[in-house]
Amino acid sequence: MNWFKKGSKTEEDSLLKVIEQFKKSGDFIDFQNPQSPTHYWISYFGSLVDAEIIHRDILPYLNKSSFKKIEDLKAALPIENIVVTSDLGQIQQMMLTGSVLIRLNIADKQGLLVRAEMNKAREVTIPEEEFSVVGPKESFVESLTTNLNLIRKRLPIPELEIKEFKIGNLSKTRVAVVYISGIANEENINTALQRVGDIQFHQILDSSYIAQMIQDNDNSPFPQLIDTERPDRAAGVLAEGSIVILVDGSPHALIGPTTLVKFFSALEDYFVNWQLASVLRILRLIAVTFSILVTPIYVAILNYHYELIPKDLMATLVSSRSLIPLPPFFEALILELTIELLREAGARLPTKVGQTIGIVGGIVIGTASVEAGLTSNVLLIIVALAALASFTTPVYKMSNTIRMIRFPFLVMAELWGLVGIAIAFIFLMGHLLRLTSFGRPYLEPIYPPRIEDLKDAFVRLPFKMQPKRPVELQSPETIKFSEKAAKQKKDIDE
Amino acid sequence: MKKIVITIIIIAIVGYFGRIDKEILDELDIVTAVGYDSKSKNKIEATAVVPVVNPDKSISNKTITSIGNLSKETLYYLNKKSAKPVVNGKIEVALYSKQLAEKGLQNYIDYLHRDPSIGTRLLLAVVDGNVKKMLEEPFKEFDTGTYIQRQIIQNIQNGFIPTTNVHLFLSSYYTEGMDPVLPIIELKEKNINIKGLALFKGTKMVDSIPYRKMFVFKALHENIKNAGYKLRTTEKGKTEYISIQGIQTKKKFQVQNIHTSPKITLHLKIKGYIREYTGATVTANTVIKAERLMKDKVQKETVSMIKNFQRYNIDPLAFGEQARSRTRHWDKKKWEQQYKKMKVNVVVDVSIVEIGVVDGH
Repeated sequence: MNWFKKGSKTEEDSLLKVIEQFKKSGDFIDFQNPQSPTHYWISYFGSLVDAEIIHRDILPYLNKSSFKKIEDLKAALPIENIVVTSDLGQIQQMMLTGSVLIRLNIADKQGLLVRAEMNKAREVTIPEEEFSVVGPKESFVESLTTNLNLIRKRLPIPELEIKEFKIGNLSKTRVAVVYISGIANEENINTALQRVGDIQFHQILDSSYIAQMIQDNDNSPFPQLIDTERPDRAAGVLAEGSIVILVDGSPHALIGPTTLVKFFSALEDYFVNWQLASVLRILRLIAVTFSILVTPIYVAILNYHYELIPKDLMATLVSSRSLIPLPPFFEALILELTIELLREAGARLPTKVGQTIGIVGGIVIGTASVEAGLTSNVLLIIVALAALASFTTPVYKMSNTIRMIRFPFLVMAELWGLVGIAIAFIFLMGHLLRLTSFGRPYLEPIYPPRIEDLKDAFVRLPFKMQPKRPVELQSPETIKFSEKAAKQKKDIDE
Repeated sequence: MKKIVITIIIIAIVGYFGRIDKEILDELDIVTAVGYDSKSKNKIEATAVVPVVNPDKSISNKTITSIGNLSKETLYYLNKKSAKPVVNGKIEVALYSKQLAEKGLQNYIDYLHRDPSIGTRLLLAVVDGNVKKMLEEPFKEFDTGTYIQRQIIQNIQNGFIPTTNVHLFLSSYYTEGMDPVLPIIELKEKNINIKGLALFKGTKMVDSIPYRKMFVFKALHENIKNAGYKLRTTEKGKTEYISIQGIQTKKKFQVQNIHTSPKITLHLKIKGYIREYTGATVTANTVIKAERLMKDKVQKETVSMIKNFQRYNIDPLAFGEQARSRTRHWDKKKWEQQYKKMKVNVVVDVSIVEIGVVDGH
């Protein structure tokens, strides 16, 4: 399999041998056209090239007139980027990505390569994971070119730089690191370029592969790079000084460096007014805390701290639990696992069936287990609310993490009650404090405390009050816009 | 890898063996009220009320009784008579029979104070009659402990019971120049009735104030935010009643000559509005009359009440504390001698701020 190697130039290799090897594939086409004035050989992968280009832009010109030299042919074809080469490695590489090889004689060492690759990409559609009611409705697709176009359209400046890599010795996936030079921090760019360039893997199927390979701590349950399907979000963070990584074949862009609170901010926060955005952000953060802690707290309090239960609630709790044979921990564990099962089943099944599963599971199993006396209805409400609250996280990967880290808390609550929850929380905070994203602190506006960045963390203050780029990103160009000019109000008369 | 395994093993060992005992909510007998009766010379009878929540969500009462020497011991014996462990974390009310209160509550309060699971906002009350009988009385809606607690709290907020709980009781017990008070309740025709206030010397009950005088006491003891008062007057030979509601009071102490012959002036400001008058119409005259009537009545009651305190040598209104906090070198012994003969001036100022929406002439 020496044709994998780029530019394999052993003396025995010749163009004919390369063609011979290609011929082993059923979709390789190699023929001589005897009817044309000039006899020529044309060879390409039928599955890679666009037949329309061949029939419209190549064959008619070849059949029209006769050529002596291959360079004449180059001038005659109405396609740009035609390469005439005898470099076997290049020929191999280009044919495998959808070029057509034209030779005048079968034994020629030189060939003409015409790009005619098939561009079958999905249409740009409405974002599904990060849907927002207001704001743009475009989302990334699987084609890198389209995705780059979606970003560049929003940032028509020469400083927007795109560095491309080919990663994966089998998949040869194009990976683009996008940043605005002069706004993105040099160190961050170098980190990103170096980490992406250093990736050694055979196949890259999605941007999450890259994310897992370049993130700072591989053993952390927390995602250290935001993945987004919204080009507007990508363009937004680029303008703040972040770095965006796009992968061909993946409709998700990676954003880094990032912080924990950014995972809880939706792009919609910037489209609605700042008061509403702040309320929604706080709501989301409360929801996440609630989602992680409420079941463990239920278990801890029912197991160890009956004193903490308000007297009016006690009757409700006792009566709902009076017939249940299981201790609170197992009761909670069973319900939590049921919810996780439903979620997993719903995610694996086609949309229509998935919805049915959700309804069947939610209503039937829930009510039945309460009626059968296996779980208390108070806990059912708590677990359902916790599940609901975990869905408020705008980034899907983070909501998965939140689903998961509830279980250690649950175990600690069972073992040591509220003390256990506190200990689990200390471990969590310790972990988060040590975590970095592209070398920048993950817990940033909280620790290290950066007052400037708090303006766009738990709350989002008006745009006017945020004239500076986030301290976190260490942008060399700290000022976003002139605060003075923004504050000036021009009168109609002027 | 080795590190992780060791960590997991340590967590498992510490986690499993380092646990405290579980107290699962529905497998406990949670006591909401305890009561102590004097049984014989050295024995007391402890009664605990445990609410039982039935599966249909109705609440019924269960009382557990045991007899012993010390209150701690008797509470411990309660466990013996229950199918589930009896826990103290939710005790809201502790009741003591009058006989016990007269003997002194020191032993019984110490336990409530020492147990960390019992909060210091626990209410204390003296019961005139049999405590056990009162706790065995079922009330609808709530269990007996909660019922009594709610009634006392309600009367602290809107009635005449001075703010009370274990913390305040102990604080006035330990403060020099101050004596505690506790409400007296009784069971009257299947209802809890607030009978008056028990006055303590140390932890021994020495005297009581009847319910009708509790308004004046509360006004002198703390600032009233919302209360009612009734006045009787004669108008053209007929007995008429004036009801004054929404009463707010403010008191102020003025202490003079602390070291030689102390003299205390008490300024009491009362604000309220007339809500009911049985006579013809409320006129400006009626208002002035009501003000004067109330002023005289409150003053008279205050003076006689304070005389009574001085006779028993108790200081529930914390005159001593007032004097102590205003000077250096306050001598408790000297003060106690002076207290009996101390002159207390009472200046009452009543103002009726409104007479309701029906306008008089």
